[in-house]
Amino acid sequence: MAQPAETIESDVLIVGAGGAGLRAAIASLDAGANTVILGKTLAGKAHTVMAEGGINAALGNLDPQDSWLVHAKDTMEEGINLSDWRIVEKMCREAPQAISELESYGAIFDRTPDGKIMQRPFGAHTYRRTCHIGDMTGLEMMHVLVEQVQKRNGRLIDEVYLTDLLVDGNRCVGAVGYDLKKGKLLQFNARAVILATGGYARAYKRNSNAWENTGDGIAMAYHVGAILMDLEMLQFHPTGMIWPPSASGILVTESVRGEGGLLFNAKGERFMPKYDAKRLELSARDVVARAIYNEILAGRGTEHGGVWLDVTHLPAEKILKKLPRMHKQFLEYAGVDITKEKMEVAPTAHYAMGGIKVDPATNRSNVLGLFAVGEVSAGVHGGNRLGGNSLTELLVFGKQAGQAAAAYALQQSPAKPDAKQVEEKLAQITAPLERREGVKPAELRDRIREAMWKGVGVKRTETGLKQAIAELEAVKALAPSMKVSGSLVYNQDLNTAMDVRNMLVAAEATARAALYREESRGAHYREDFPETNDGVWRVNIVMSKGFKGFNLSVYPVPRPEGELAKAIKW
Amino acid sequence: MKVRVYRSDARQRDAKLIAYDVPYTKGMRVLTALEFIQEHLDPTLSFRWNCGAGQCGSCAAEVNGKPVLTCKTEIREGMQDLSVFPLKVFPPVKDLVVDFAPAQKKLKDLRAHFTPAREKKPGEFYRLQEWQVQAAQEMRKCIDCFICYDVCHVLRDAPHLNFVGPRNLVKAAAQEFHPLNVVNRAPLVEQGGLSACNVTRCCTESCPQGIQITQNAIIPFKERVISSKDPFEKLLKKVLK
Ligand SMILES: Cc1cc2nc3c(=O)[nH]c(=O)nc-3n(C[C@H](O)[C@H](O)[C@H](O)COP(=O)(O)OP(=O)(O)OC[C@H]3O[C@@H](n4cnc5c(N)ncnc54)[C@H](O)[C@@H]3O)c2cc1C
Ligand code: FES
Repeated sequence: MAQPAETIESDVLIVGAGGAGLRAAIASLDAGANTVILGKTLAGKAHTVMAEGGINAALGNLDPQDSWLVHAKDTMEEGINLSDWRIVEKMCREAPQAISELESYGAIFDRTPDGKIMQRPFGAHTYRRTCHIGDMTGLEMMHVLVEQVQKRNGRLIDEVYLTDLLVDGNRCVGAVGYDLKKGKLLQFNARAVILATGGYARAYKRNSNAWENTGDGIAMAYHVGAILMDLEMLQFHPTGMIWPPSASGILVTESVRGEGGLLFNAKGERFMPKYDAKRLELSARDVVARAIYNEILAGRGTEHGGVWLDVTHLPAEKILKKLPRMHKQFLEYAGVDITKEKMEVAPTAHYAMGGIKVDPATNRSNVLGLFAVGEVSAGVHGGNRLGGNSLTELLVFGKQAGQAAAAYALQQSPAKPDAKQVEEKLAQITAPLERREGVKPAELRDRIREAMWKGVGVKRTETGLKQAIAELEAVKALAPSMKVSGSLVYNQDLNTAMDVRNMLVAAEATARAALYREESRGAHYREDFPETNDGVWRVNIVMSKGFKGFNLSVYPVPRPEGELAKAIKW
Repeated sequence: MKVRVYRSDARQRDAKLIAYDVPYTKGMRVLTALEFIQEHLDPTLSFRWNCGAGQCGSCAAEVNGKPVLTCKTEIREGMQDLSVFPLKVFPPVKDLVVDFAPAQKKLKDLRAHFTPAREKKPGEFYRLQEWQVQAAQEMRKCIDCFICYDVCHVLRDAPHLNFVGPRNLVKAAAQEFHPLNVVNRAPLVEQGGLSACNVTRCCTESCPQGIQITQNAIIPFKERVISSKDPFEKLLKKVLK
């Protein structure tokens, strides 16, 4: 039987070392809890490093009229009445404090001429409030957060793939997984566990996410009975690279259109006036994504199945000054000089608004001792995410989750996971290695990604969704027979096998929730139900594990109170 | 196209170069070729990557003798032969995967975190001018890919000198140049073997982020070390205090 090579004890175990996990670790360490934080990639290299545009806070450095209330109103409106106002209010009120803290950790933001933090305009924000460090905001954030965890002697273990949570009744008491470099099975005993594993856009064929974003946290939580929410809400960014194939999905930032970039179909027609005559290329993300998608489906797409994004009419100096990373990206990845040539783009799966349902005041899930924070959680963004709000969420709620988990953990008796459960869970890791024959994990992964792209993509229909679900079920039936060769040491095929297990849960939940929501709202667009129907559908779709797969039900969205109630149409 | 990849385990038993036939497609990256091998020819091949977009620094390896980010490096049309080796100077883990832990450990001695004169009040914001922050911001572009270690003569030829390495100096400089920093890291980097570096600029030329490592991190530190030893400057500092 599979046995752990080592057992690591802690008060608080944080799964995920992106922005959310690291900020939680700092809070947990400051609260005096013995904290272990881990990620499945190298320390400091989590997906968060890719965040380019910036982080929102109503500092009012450029537009003094800005306030937390306007920020909250913008967020609620972009979320099309699906966000939890309590979470939104807290985030917007505390955002300036979070930025100030990040500065005290040593982050250096770009400056205004009078020495304050610079703030740039971003789509659908009333005022300029996106603080940034060039186009490398996430990188700087990750640097300083890692430094602060290390300064506090936090135990940061990298390249550990956690596969399952351990429970004692309804209480989460740890997790199991394997160390990639050492090739060893590990057991973690913890009085509290925080999931900060990020999103799952990797479950789509074309996506902007890092390798690690396969919905592991969602799957782990689901298996121990946590409630998932808003899974149908997956944001497609309108512009991702499509050519060459090895660059497919890489993000082409919204600033390209912000600086004046125009969209053309293969016939050379500027098509946005047809879809949004007022806001044109700068319309909401979901509108632009659908417009591009339509053009391609109607046969007006480019050779590689995209449309043209063009900045050649802008002066070359402006492009080089305002969009240096994009200029470099296209030159290096596609051999295209964007000052002279058009960019070929198409929508790319980008961000999961849905995730684990959490308590607004503590980030607790419905499972005792299990917390969730960051992209893996739900509540802030509702039907659509306002650009720059994710990084804010990581900091504000990372802190809250870390504090709450530490406070909870310090009152608990030591965790004593059941040895048999540990063995069972560990056996799931080693089983594919022991099989003599079976299916290739990469093959199943590609089938999931193809099915999601085709059936649960930018535009959805009942038939398409049902086909996707059938395909996912077929893959699910094959998953127990995946075969992996080699050992436990840095085995990429084994990682893929575990990814498949996790992606299947996140993917199926997404498809089922999308089938259930018979209307269109934000990122979720049903061709067969194109209208938004607040009368029936101002509800959050929640799901959890039942005897026969997903149990699905709806909760009414909490009605805003206090100052927000006055600011928002309901 | 033939792609030769270095294969070994941590103890370097049976280390060997294996040639794989990989079909060329236009625009292909070295990382794409490695993925193809792993998925179709040999599932046990190990290499690192995460963002696939040149932003996380996970995927560095030596391609035809030159260290590069494999996700960013295009295989040119007509190229027949490609060899891929792990980065040198790091303990091997498996195939192209190496262990950066020793380098990370040395960083600890450089106090590579923000060290201001006083704690900031909650909700307070700094006032800093653009010109004050530029030097530090350049250092913060580092994506920790460790390509600079692979080309560093000191690390390659004189491991006994225990040099902290270019990337760690960049990290130290990122803190040293923060306009509000009060810690002098000159003695720390000196202990870290700074004097062994004879400024051949190899690290600078290999940096995928274009950081002027030699000019803007190493030389300023060298100057600080010298001036902290200069008897005249020492006296001046005492008087000023
Ligand atoms: C290209 C791009 C640009 C973006 N730009 C912006 C922006 O400008 N502003 C903004 O606000 N947002 C932006 N976003 C969104 C934002 O970057 C992410 O939502 C955010 O970084 C998620 O952070 P996180 O901490 O929740 O998770 P992540 O950063 O995704 O980290 C997840 C962590 O969990 C670990 N993990 C996952 N599974 C396991 C497992 N099974 N075992 C162990 N560890 C595991 C991972 O290794 C990693 O350490 C952007 C996203 C992309 C893709
Ligand atoms: S994979 Fe991130 S830099 Fe290559």
